[in-house]
Amino acid sequence: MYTPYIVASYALTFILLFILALASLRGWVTARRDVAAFTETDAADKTGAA
Amino acid sequence: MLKALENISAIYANPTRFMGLAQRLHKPLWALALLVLAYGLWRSLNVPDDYQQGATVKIMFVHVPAAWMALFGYSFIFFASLSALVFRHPLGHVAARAAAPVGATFTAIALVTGSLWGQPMWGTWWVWDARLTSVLVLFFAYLGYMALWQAIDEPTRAARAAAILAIVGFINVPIVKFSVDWWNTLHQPASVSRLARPALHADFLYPLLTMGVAFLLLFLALTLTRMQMEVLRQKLRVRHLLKNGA
Repeated sequence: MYTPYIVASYALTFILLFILALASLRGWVTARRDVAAFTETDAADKTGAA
Repeated sequence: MLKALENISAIYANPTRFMGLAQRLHKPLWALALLVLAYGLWRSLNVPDDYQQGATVKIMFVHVPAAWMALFGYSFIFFASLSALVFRHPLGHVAARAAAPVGATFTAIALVTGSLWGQPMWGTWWVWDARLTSVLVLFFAYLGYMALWQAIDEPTRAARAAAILAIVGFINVPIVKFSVDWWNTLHQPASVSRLARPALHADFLYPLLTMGVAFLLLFLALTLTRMQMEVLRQKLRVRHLLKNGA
């Protein structure tokens, strides 16, 4: 039998871990995209200057 | 062993080499963590009721591994900060900063699930005893560490100040661990670390150890993801500086 204390413990644990995992993966994807965008813009600037 | 660790550490001191390794490890580590977590969860939710605690014993399988990770996380930050300050390891600050939110989350989980376990077992959500109070101090140490990184604009100064705070704050880790032996507390003493004769029956011990491994793998997967994010952000900052300076 699952008491409300057990349900709340497991639910809170996995909600917190899910939020952290989502934030971490989102931050990593955004950082990758930003670096790629910078590289592209920089290359275009250099080509334009040449 | 120490020499081998030193060699590995030296090889992956180069952020480009580290990123190569991280990219290879990233997906398999996440997959393994989720697989072990699913197995651990299935085993934990199917244990028999305890003769004293009944079904409430199931809270142990999230509370105890989270508390282990809370201590492991701060120890990880301590050693990473030490390697950055003493050996000038270029990834030391990155690793420490990446692990802080992960460790703080596990500490929050340990505190909340401990409270949810305490109410039906002790008849109270919270007591100011040595174990509970020292874990709360550990949670504030994590928050303080993260706040210091945010408070100082110049990254080198922020890294140094945060590393010093992490090293000083490490004094709390043995206090948390031994608080149940040094003081008379409501919290029970260690039951698993007595390797010669653990106080837990095998029905509870193996699911607990499985969840411990799952949380460790999750900690490593999350920290690795955040380390890659930090390295990329640093790379971007340096490129912006070089472009604006040129």
